[in-house]
Amino acid sequence: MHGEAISELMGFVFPNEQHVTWTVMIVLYPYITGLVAGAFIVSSLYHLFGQESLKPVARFALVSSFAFLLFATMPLLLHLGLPTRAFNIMITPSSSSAMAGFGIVYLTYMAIVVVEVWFSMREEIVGRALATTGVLGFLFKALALFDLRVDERTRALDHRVVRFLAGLGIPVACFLHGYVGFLFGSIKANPWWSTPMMFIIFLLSAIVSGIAVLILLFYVISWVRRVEVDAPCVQTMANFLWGFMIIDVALELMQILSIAYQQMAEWEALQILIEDKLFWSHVVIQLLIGSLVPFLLLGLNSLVKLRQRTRNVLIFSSSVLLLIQVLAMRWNVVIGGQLMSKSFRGYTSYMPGLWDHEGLIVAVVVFTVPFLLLRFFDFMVPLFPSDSAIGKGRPS
Amino acid sequence: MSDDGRDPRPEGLGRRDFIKLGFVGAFAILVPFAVRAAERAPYRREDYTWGFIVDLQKCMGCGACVRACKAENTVPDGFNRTWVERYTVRRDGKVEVDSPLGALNGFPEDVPHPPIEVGKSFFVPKLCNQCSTAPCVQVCPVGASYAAPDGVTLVDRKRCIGCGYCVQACPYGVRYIHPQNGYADKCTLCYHRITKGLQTACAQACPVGARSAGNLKDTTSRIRQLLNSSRYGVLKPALGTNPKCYYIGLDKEVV
Amino acid sequence: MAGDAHGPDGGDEHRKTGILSFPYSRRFFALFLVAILGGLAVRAALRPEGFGEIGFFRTGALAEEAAREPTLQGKGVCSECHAVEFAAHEKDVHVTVQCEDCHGSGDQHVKARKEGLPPEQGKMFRELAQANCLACHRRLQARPKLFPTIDIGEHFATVGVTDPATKCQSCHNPHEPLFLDRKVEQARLHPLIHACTDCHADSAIRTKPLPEGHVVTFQCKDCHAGVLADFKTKPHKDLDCQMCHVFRQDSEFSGRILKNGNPKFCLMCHQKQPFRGKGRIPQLESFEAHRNEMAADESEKQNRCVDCHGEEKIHTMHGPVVSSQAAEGGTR
Repeated sequence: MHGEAISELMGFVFPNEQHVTWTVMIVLYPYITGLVAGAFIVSSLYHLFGQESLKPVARFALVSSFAFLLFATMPLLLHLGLPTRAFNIMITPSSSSAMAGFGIVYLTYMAIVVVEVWFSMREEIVGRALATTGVLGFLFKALALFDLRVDERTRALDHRVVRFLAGLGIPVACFLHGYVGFLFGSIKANPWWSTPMMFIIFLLSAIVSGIAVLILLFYVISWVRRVEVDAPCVQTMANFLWGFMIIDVALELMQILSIAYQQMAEWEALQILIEDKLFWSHVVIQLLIGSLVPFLLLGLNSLVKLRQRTRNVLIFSSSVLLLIQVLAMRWNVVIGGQLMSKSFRGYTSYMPGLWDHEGLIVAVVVFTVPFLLLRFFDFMVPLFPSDSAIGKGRPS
Repeated sequence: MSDDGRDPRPEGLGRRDFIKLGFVGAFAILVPFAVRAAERAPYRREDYTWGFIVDLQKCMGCGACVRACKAENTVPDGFNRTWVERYTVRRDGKVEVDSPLGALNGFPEDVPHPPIEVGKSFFVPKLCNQCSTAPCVQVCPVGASYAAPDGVTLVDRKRCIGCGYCVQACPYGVRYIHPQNGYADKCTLCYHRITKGLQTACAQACPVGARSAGNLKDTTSRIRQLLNSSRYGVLKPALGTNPKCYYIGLDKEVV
Repeated sequence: MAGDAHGPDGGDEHRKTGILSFPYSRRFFALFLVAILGGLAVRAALRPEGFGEIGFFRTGALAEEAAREPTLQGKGVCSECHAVEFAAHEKDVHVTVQCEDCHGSGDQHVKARKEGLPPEQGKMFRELAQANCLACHRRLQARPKLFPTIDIGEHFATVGVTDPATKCQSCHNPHEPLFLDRKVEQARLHPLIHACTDCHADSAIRTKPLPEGHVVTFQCKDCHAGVLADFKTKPHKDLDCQMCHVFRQDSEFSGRILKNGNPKFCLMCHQKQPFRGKGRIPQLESFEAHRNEMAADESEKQNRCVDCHGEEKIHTMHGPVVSSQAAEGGTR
């Protein structure tokens, strides 16, 4: 089945549970929409909340959000048993289903991001339209809707629209990612998932991953373009990253503490899940390496006066670790919840196959493509402001 | 035969006997038609609320129900619409549960504990609980998992997108995604049989009468009579699914 | 919105630039509106017929599900052709077992026969192995104590079978396993009693006193002491009463005692067979052969083993059971 390894069973599981239904694709989906939401929040921190130091990364953050959004549905389509019927979710969405909310929220958010990206990039698009000729020139002019006027008034309008949408987009982005958390948290059949806190935990870890990926990309692109990384920009992002990760990890730990304290009937089985089945992925990777270490490193960065080079090391490594932490968290929730049988008497195992349509190779490809798309967008239209170091370093 | 060995009947068939034969013959010909006509009386959904009853005191773990269901519904290999679990409660209180291939071939071996160690042991058949407030129906994003008006939870194979949400939402593990066809699948209470006056495949196959589907709306039905005369339980009642699959003699250890 | 504050002249004297002020914004939002309306139109067009009429589902799905043809036929259909086997089956203890439980689903078979296809098409499974019978009758601790189970080694030892690969149907006809001489439902009713082993596997239980409220237990000897004393002097003395007097306590026929006079029943143990060791159990070639050998003339020929072997001179059973014998051994 599915090219996965044959499951290793421990104890007693219901016959149908030997096969894990929500695979690595369903781990990847909230990871990608998390990046969408997180990147959008960073963009809004500049456009709405006046964090001026984030100007160099704000537009890039918005377009990243857009690029990830375009590919957010890929893991879902690869997972569906009948992907050709995927539109059913928009044709007859059930009002009682959290998953049906996906159709509306995704479209709404896509609309907001498309409008916001267009208005935010309009001046650059017009610039490219004026600078190019031939087919490419025509395409850019078409993209600008054949109105190439740019002046203070158009800028004012563009800015107003972007600001409005940056504000409107925040709750929608929260919904886009939060509904996934709610979806898991409201499944009463699975005690590992069922908690009211799941919505907020998913959301906060999404923001953490979004900031972390932007920091990572900012460093990588600065390095590729051989420019000094914009210190106030990364420092602001790192401060926010530290703040958000504290709240996020606190909530994750709180949730476990709560179920460990209450010790409901299923606690005995959950305890074995955490301490045995998920020991490496949860305790070691998610908590120790993925949470404790970045907490210390970023804390050092935020509280102590350090040289920029040291800061760069701390921030960069913390971002990488936190990206791993959030991925591990998604894995531990999605896969972990299915490892434990609903009989509370046994466990199955899961290892994704390599080449099948829900396998590791496909997962890596699906995750990589948005980054390639971003590169393509930047190739078309500059994503960084021309007055920033990183923007100046752009190869023309 | 009379005492002297002679046959006392007159030669050939008398008039009376011929008329009697005629009546009997006519009845014999007509009865099957009457029976078939009664069977073909149209099924009225509004008269039925389907439930299922399992008598755990009778089940002897032969697996005939599992095999019958596989045959009736072409259940794919490696998945079960119904299965039988064996619970072994040892004298020291430890509980072991097993279900080799879902009891597709029954239970070929006894538990590896001598009788002196075993306190009690019993079989529990499992199937879709046909919940009145089914979580699988609630979470289906496209209206493919639905509750029929006569109380049976079904899947519209032409609508299902195979997202697997219902599989996760079911507390009893009775659903699966069909490995070849991609849609969600589960026990349908043999809707195509019960609406024709037949029993479910599993209930028909059971040699000891441990399983049967019935109309909860009919106070004279077997299921109603059993529910009114025995102590029974349902699985995971705290989850609020309101299952309509009732277990007579349900033990605390059964989840 | 403070957007206008960004203008070089403060922007106060200008009307706020609305979203429709410029051609580009007008075109953009027009396209946007077209996309939304178009999407809604497509959605309405693609909504399946009959959706949402009686519930949030496609009404047609219900009829489709109900219209499927059943696969399993049920024993009634089998009886239309296989009347002989059916008659035997309905009379004996396997009456509650469906034909298709052992022979597999009959749908292909019925279809092939109705279409007049050659006999090789739609053949049913017939080659039952020991494992097929043991699927139900194997002794498992989880099986209800009142359901008839055997340990195959013990059973073969009791009935003198020496070849462990002997199939069950070498002695038992699966359609009439006990060769009952009358239908199960018509067997005599016996007061429903329990023995300790009906519930307890541990035989040591028998030595313990009964706790309060315990179901009353009996053994056959408690009411039929005289019969048992007589039986113990006869050749069958090592057998349990219930070997021949099958006493059903587990099913709809609970409380029936099956006292079986059918010679085929006796021959399950007494027929000479290659898998049966010699010595302990007297073996016959056949019922007719033995009868011809033993009867002096036609008038002495009986139809049942018990007719001769219940008489004094060749008594191998036990003396007659009289109803008032319940008083013989006393009751507890």
